[in-house]
Amino acid sequence: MADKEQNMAWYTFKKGITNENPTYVQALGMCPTLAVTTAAINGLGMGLAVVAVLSLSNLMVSLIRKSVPKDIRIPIFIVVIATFVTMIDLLMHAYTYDLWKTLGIFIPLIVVNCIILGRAEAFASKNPPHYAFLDGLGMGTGFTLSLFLLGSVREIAGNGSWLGIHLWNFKMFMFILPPGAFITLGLLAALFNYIKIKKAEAEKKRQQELKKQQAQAQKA
Amino acid sequence: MDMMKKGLILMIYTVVAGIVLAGIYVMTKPAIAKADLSEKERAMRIVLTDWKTGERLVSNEKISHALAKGGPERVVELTWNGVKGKVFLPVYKFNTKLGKVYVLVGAVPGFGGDVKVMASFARGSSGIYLNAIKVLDASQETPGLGAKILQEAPQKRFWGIPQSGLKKGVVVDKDAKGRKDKGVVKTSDIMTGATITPRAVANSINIMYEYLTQKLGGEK
Repeated sequence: MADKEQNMAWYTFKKGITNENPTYVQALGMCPTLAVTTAAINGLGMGLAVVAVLSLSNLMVSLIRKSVPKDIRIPIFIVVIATFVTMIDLLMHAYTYDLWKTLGIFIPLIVVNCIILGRAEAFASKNPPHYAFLDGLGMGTGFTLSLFLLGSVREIAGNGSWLGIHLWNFKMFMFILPPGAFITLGLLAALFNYIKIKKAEAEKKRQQELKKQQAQAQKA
Repeated sequence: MDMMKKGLILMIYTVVAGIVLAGIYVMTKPAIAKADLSEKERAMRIVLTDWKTGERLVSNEKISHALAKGGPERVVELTWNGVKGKVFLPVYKFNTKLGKVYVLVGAVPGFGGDVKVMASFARGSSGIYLNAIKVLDASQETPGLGAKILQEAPQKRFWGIPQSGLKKGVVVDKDAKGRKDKGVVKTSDIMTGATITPRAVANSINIMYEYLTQKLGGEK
């Protein structure tokens, strides 16, 4: 029983990073994804802010889920989310000034990031608090890793540097500009889908082999 | 009746959120004011160095004292050669060995939003000249392109512009149109692909010079 519980918790966390990755699989929250990932560090900062908001808002939504009437759940969720975002904006302004300045407009925009409302509606409002928190943590981590990967590719290709460290002088500016965001995102999404399809094919093959072996064993 | 109940529930949530936010706001207010001020102080220390020798002109204590005495920020809108800009008051005055030095902040729209620049003008025996600048905010510029203006090297290209250059107006080399005087600042080699942001820096210098000469009167 304890084992099953642990597995469930691990799955709740992990699915946000792999199977249900918000960026490459669910294609949610595209606005910040495309806009801030001009450098790896921006992607990381934005991602971490989303982790904080998403896990806290998921936890809160799950805690209040029984006292929220169905018709007005969306405005209430938005109030909860906006409160957390404003809190984080103020705290970052006060204590991490440089990062706050870099992220600029994108912190207030977390409010309308559809991942957050999406998870509140699809998961947190239907599950107990600890799972909701883990789901937020997992989805946020998946989002952070996606942004970090996208930002890294764009920074390396477009600026010849990674995390601000100079690598080489070959630069393709297009990757830093908006078209580069779409192209890189498209290629990465294609890569993720390719891996997914290959995995599924391998699984199918393995099961066919298994069936064959069983049939042969029965014959014998 | 049901409507009233739902309205009441929604109101309770918003009131609680409001109270929480008010608490956080009050809590972070001193830290935010401190972060904003120390950012200004850091910038002022940079612009108050002699552009030729790199020597500090004013002690840290005097800068803190001047900032504390400066009072609240006021904005004046100004137009120079068809370029609209803003000057943020107060103008800070310092007596240094270069003569009187005026520090002020100006802003002109860049690629995505206002580019905010702090500049120090020294009034020597041969008239007013630009000593040093520091870009305070270019957060809306394209990272990797325009936002490179936040690095030290491109900013230092604007240091030490004599009055003859300021009178004709500061321009970047792409806009020079054959002009070859001290008012032309070469940025195209280190800011490849970005013209609008350094142009905004040049124009904010022009706006600040315009304001200063208007205020000081008849010395243009």
